[in-house]
Amino acid sequence: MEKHTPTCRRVCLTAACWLLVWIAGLLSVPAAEMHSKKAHAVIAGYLHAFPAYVEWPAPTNYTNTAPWSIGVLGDDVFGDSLMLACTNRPVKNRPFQLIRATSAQAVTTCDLVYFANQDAEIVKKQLAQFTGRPVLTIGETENFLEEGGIIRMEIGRRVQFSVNLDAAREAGLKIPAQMLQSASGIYENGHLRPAR
Amino acid sequence: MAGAVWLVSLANSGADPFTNTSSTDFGGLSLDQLANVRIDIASVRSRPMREQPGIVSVIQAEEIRQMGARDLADILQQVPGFGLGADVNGVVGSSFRGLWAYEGKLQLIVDGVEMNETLYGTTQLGHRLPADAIAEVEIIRGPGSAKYGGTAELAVVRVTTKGAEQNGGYGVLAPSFVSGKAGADATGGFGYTEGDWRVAANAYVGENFRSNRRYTALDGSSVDLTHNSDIASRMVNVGVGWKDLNVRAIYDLYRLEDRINFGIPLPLDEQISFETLALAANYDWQVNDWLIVTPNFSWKRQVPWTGGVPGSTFRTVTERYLAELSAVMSLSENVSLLTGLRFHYDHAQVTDARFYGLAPEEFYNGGTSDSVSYNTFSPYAQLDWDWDWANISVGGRYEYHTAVGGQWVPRLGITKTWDHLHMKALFDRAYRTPNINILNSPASSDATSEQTTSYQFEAGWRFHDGVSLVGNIFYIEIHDPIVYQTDAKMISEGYTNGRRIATCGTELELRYRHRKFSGALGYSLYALTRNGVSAWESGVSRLALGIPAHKVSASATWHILDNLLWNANATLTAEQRAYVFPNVDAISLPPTFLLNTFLEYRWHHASCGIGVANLLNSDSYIAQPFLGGAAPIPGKGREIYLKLGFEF
Repeated sequence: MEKHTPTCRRVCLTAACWLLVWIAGLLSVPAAEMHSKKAHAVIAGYLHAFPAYVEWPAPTNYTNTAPWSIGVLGDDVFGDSLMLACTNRPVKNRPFQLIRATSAQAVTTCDLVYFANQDAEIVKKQLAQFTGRPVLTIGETENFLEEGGIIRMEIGRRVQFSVNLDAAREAGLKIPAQMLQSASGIYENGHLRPAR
Repeated sequence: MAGAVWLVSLANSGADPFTNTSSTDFGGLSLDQLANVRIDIASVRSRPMREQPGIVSVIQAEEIRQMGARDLADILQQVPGFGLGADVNGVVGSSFRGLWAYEGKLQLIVDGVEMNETLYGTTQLGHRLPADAIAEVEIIRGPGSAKYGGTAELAVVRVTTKGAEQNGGYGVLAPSFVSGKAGADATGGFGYTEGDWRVAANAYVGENFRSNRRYTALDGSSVDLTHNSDIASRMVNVGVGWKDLNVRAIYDLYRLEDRINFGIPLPLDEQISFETLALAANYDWQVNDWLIVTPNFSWKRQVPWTGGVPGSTFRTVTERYLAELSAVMSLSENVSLLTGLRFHYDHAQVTDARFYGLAPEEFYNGGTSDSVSYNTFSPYAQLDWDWDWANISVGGRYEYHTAVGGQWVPRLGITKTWDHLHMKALFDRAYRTPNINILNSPASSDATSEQTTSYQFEAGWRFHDGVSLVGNIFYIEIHDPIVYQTDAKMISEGYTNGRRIATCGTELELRYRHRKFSGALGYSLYALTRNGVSAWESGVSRLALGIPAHKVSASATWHILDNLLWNANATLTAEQRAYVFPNVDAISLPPTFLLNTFLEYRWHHASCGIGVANLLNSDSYIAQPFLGGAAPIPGKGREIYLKLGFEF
């Protein structure tokens, strides 16, 4: 049987010490909030992608080449990522314009509105102003769908979304089956069910 | 009350060409692709390119496709600082920033697996790693030893192949024609996601050749390479994922027909092959919302530098077992820490040493064994701190090799971004541990580790209309460089440590991106400021043997119609010094201008492209960047190629 050399023992000892220090380091680290920068960059990608799938009612106040307007209501959660996602990437031959506002009234004519406020009560009040309007409302608060929002983004290891079909119908928006296949959940007739 | 409103119209403004689309730009992806993007919790893993503590180039599939690139070497030709050089046996590799990086100083990683062979640490290029299978090439221009270990001494090239996010497949057939010879490449693959499962596969078969011109050795003898430099390349790459578990298998075969040998042409062709089979698995275990622990295991079996002429052949099988445990911690909103432990075991067994006139059991350990093994152990850490006035990245790696001892390499990076401007100041130490056959073979001597110190400074400006300009200056100094030297008849060969060598220089990149037109212009310059290696002397101060001091690269793509594009790309390299018959001393070869063009028409799921490489039929040479007894290998003449592709 091969004898352990002093060098081998030193390596093993060093490795064991380092492992102990490493584990101790892990255990002593305080908890911290999850970094959400990348999650919102992915959500920006979704905001750019949704118009390719969703069907709006026939246009009344704009032509087919009018820009898609995306309203961001509340905090600046996207940084540059929403602009990056939409720049020079027209969808259905229509470019994008971004509107950021602190008041719901300023974005009620947008095609899509993202509710960036984290306060569920404020979001609930803001959502009420979009009832019946052909606006794709998107948010991330826990009861966003129950309160009448159309798409709720869920941030975990990956970013997924659920769709409120009742609210979409009320807004006159058609969510195609292809989009529903990618959703993680569908809210219909007052119940949320897994989509896949 | 309307409240505060801002409005940005994005109809005509340019996209940010600075930004690494893989980390901050997710526009243009499908819903399925977006649903599969992993959200890392720490900026150690994902940052915009401008903020990364390194000088990084990212080239993605669409840009690769537009330029009509056929392999990794075509892509690297467009990157400032890189050049091609010749090793023995007609093998081609890369130089970087005036230094011969090919042997143990450039780390090539494919889908997380290091592809450098472990006998000498080399990376072969030219009709290897098909461009059509590549989703992204990330090039870290500068040392990466602190994060990636040895062989990342000067640069790291990370190739990511097309994966499960395709939710479909592709195939590309690329026949090529050059005066007197034809070649062909076939690449295909698919990738799908289904629930928590992901699967992707890419396969490649290439039958090509190095040159259709005549090689003239230093003794005046010559050989036509048209039918004596065939290159057969094969690759199968399969990845399977389930939730956060990833498993990867790669098979790569690169076989050359060689007549050049060590400089004086052989009477008959010999076959030299490099074979790699690798299996790797890792699991990203999210312990909680601030910690991800990733165990990583891999096994790699390689049979490099195998072949020779009958009666003078060589074959060694190497294996590497690697176990690594890393953790990414988000210590606060602004501080993240990457730390890890890596262990690998290297084993080499000779089965044929007739090239050296030896029996296998006489090859290692001073002629007493046919095998040898080493252990390497390395803890490493990197702390990223996003401070108000700058981002600080500090880290290092300690590596202990059972035959060589310990190496400690620290690094420090400071980056600062404003709206349009960014600046980076980087300090790195790096190293190269002598590889198996440098430590322990008849060719070895008493070579010890080499150490590198690098200082880099980068500044970049982002213009409003989609134009960006980035430039850097660098200084690299290698202490005790490991130097290979041989002669035209391979009467003797060996490795020694040279004295200090240093280069400094600059690199510039101008990029423009618009819906109809995009382009890039690159320039790189190096100068030797110190050369203590006689085998790399060119006879001209400030110029290394075989490596041009100046390189200009340019690429322009015009979207003529929505489905028709045209690309022209070119490289201009300054004179290079090389040994050429009948001169005794190195002489200057004239500057080289290579112009390539590619036209592609896309129709539904099909595409048809036609390209011409070396449109002007210019003379080009791949010179040896060390005193190795070989004359420059002539490059190919004008080559016409097709790319017939489909997607499903």
